[in-house]
Amino acid sequence: MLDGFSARPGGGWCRHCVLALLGVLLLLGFSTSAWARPVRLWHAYRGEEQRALEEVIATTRVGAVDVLAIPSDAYAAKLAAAIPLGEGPDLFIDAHERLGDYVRQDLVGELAFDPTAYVPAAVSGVTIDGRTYGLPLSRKCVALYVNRALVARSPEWLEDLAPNLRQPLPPGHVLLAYENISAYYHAPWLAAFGGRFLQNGDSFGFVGEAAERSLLLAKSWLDQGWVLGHADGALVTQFFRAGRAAYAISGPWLAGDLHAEGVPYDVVPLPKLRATGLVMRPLLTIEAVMASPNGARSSAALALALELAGADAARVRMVRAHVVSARSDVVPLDDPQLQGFQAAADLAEPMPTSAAMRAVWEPSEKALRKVLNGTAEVRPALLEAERRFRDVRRPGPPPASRTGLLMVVGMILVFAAFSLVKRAREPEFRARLRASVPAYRYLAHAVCALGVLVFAPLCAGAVIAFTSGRPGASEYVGVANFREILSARGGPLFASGSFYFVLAVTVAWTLLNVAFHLGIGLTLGVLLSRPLLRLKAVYRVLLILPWAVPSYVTALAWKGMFHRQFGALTALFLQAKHWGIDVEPIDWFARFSTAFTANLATNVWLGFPFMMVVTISAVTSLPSEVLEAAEVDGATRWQRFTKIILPLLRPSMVPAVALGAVWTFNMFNVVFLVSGGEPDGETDVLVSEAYRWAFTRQAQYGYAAAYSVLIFALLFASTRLAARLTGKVVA
Amino acid sequence: MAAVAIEQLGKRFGTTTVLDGVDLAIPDGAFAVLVGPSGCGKSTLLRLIAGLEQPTSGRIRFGERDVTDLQPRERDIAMVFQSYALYPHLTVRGNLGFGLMLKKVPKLEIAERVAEASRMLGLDGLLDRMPKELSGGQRQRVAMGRAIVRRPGLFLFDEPLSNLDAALRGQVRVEIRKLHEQLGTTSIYVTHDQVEAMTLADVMFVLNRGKVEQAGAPLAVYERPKTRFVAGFLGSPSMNFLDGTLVSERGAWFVDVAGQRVPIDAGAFTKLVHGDAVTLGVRPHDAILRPAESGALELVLTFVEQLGGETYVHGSILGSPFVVRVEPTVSVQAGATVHVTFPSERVHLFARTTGNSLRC
Repeated sequence: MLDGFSARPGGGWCRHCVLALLGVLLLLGFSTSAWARPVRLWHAYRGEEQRALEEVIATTRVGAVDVLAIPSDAYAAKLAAAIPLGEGPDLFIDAHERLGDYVRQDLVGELAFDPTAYVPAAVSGVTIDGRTYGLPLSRKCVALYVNRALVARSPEWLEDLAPNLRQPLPPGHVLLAYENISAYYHAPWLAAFGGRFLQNGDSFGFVGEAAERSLLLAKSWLDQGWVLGHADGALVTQFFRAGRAAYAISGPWLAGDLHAEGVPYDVVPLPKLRATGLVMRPLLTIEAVMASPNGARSSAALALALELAGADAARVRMVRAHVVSARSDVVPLDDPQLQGFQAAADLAEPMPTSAAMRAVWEPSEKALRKVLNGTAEVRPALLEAERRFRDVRRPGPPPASRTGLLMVVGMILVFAAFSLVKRAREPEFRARLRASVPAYRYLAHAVCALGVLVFAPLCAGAVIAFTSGRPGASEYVGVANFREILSARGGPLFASGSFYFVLAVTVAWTLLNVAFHLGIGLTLGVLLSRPLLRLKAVYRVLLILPWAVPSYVTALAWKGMFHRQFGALTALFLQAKHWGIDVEPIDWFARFSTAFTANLATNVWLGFPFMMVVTISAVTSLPSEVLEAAEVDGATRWQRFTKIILPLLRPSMVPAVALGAVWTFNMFNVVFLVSGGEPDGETDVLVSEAYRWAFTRQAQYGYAAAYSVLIFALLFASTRLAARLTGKVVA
Repeated sequence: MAAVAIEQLGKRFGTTTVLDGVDLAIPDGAFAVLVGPSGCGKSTLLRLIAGLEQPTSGRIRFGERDVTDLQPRERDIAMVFQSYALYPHLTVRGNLGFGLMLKKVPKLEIAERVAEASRMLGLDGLLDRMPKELSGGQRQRVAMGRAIVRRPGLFLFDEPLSNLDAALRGQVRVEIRKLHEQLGTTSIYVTHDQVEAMTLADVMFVLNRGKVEQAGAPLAVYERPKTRFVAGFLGSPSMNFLDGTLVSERGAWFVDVAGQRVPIDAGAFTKLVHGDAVTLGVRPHDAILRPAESGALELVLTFVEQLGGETYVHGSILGSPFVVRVEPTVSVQAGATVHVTFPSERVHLFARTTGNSLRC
């Protein structure tokens, strides 16, 4: 080989090229590591804010800056993945409320600075245990948008919202639009009664008198039709932009969606509540530039951070992006909107940085929605929320002794070694093994690929299930996670959110789905297999389409159809009313039965084409003479279907049904996107529940992994059982 | 039980005409065989009778009943398919009783009739087996049994023996005929095998290119084929054909085959015209090997086929292939030249233009 290579003309030339290339690469590598390496800066800005940042960077005196915009959804995960490996940014811009987590995960380094230049609330936001971890850039909070076309003057009191109208609102208009099912937007209502979501010492605050009164007030506003029901951000924007809401509570992001020539509006701080005399203080988010532990040691990074948080940069942001500065020495522009936001921010309360805050949202929102939907009383709903909060915040299981583990693993290893040796000593086995060597060679790459892509993650997941698996603490805890799951964490066994409740929902979900998939798929498949059907190919393509569309797209489209006010179904119901059929639009996600039905309808739509395709191919391969024999024997069309076609399709359908059942059992997209577990987490299935434990409830990976192991075990056992049962029947 | 009458039945698939004005009359209780080469339309005709296809034109009557527009299940028929078409998910018992179960016949009666049919066909020990556990011959019997159990007015057989080996085929053929004697039900049987046709049929219909070429009792058709096609199709090995010209000389008639004159019995034929182009047909067992004599044709042997009970010598006469059956004791060798004569009463004559027989 070597001789052949060097003998080839041009071989030497090739080698020189390679060497030269290597040299250049080495030089480049050397230069980037030793000389002025650019400061790496990550952010999640878009639009004007991104341009403002670029403008600041363009005039920096620090030197080269490597700016990278990351999608906000993946931001925290990317930071957590990259910084420990030294691949992350030196500086990154993020909201202060994540600092608690970042400090715990060692993703940020301390940044000392002169606090006098900043608003005290901003400084307190980036301070944890007396240390500052970021330089505040801007403050964001919600404020009251006032539609000047409908409102005579901005209200000082909440009770004045209606009296301040120029005239009574015409039909199709609402007094106030805000995201009333979001806990974040409920915070000002709570604050107006002196409450807060997280009390000192990380205890749950959305309980007690203030919480109850805030909920009752919000509900009474909703019940009187003053507030837009079940509103999300898009709906609030839509209403206010169309001039159909007199007031809206929203942040600076709403202003970005309003046209300059559209509705005339003012931005003012949220009003006070006359009943208590307290201001509706919103939660304040402080955007800060933070440094990774590496970045905190780099003088260039620190210089850049100071520049970004400096007065000049603040002015650029203010002018360009209308952002309220976190500095106390920057005078706001002569812009009423900006002044409105600044006044609102001055009143706002910084969001707690404690990790406990992230455990607040889900239980609080569930309680909020239940009360607003009228499906629960205020006090029980809040007590339930507090229980859920404690449930999520419960301490991790104590480390377990490894003796048991070592014994079990040791015994397995000894047994495996013993049986291996025993097998290896059989001459027959050795001969067979030698004969099989070529087969192993052919299989090797597939085994490697499967091992890396399937078995390794599976085993890693299983291992995590036996650890506490929380960020910063992952010691071995034995079967504690499983014990907690199977004992419903000490709560009632069939309460919503317990393993058994979710399992029951999942089983019902799977059975119903598969029944519908099979029923519709079989019927259509048999109909479409009729040889004389015209335009058969067209129908087939049309009916396979639901399958061809990515499931999350379908799920989102169906979620839209089920919208309480603007969904296609509501439009249909209204039309039906027009024709004299009396049906009320349904709030699909307020009750278990309707939310479950919505999920079911979506997934049936997604799932039947698979069964249909399997049926078509199976029917096509049926021997036609057998069907003719039945016809001659006197079978009607229906009898041919039930007595011949169905039994003959069975061997093809059994694996399809098993496959469909597993897919449905683990159908995350539909459940997560359509109902999102509503109401009250009752429509969650095991996988979406596992997801929530891992990603929305304080990152309890060990607990979530234990869920996954249980799901795997359940599916494995039930498919084995089904295979055995149907195998017997088919044979 | 019923006679079957078919009038001007036509069937087209797109632009392809499969059946072109077929007329059939099958007497009540007869065993009729539809025979013909592949693609002659015999299976399509059977499927039309069964109701599995709809005719493009014409009528089908069972006795007085016009069944042309009826569904198969309304026609009171039973059919045995070439592939047997057993229900793979049912036991032999289930297969036999299926038709009766659909008719909601009481269970006891089904059991009796299944037992009776299985006794007739020797299926007693197989009733609880699945079709895939049976041999080809056993499956064939189950298919027959399934038809018998129903006691239909008409049996239809679509090449039911073609998937069996030769020995079994002969055996089952006899059984089918016996069953027919026993049951006396009108039967229509499709085959491309002329031996089956000859042995089974009360009345035989030879089909060619979508038409009935000749109908009648098997022996009559064999002995007096109306066309050259029928003559060539029936008989094994098939009839030898020699092209020639009619010659009349002094009141005697000959066929001039390339200068050699073969005398014919003019009284047996009509429409003899001097100088007409004809085809002379002789069955292998009607030709006789002779020492050289006048009027004998020279046969150059290429191949001798010894079957034990008889011997076929293959060769050519004036370029046309020719086969003669001889006694196994006759000793001839490939490459030799022998002489052949045939009794004038065993000679068939066909007009070369139409292929029609000139026999009166």
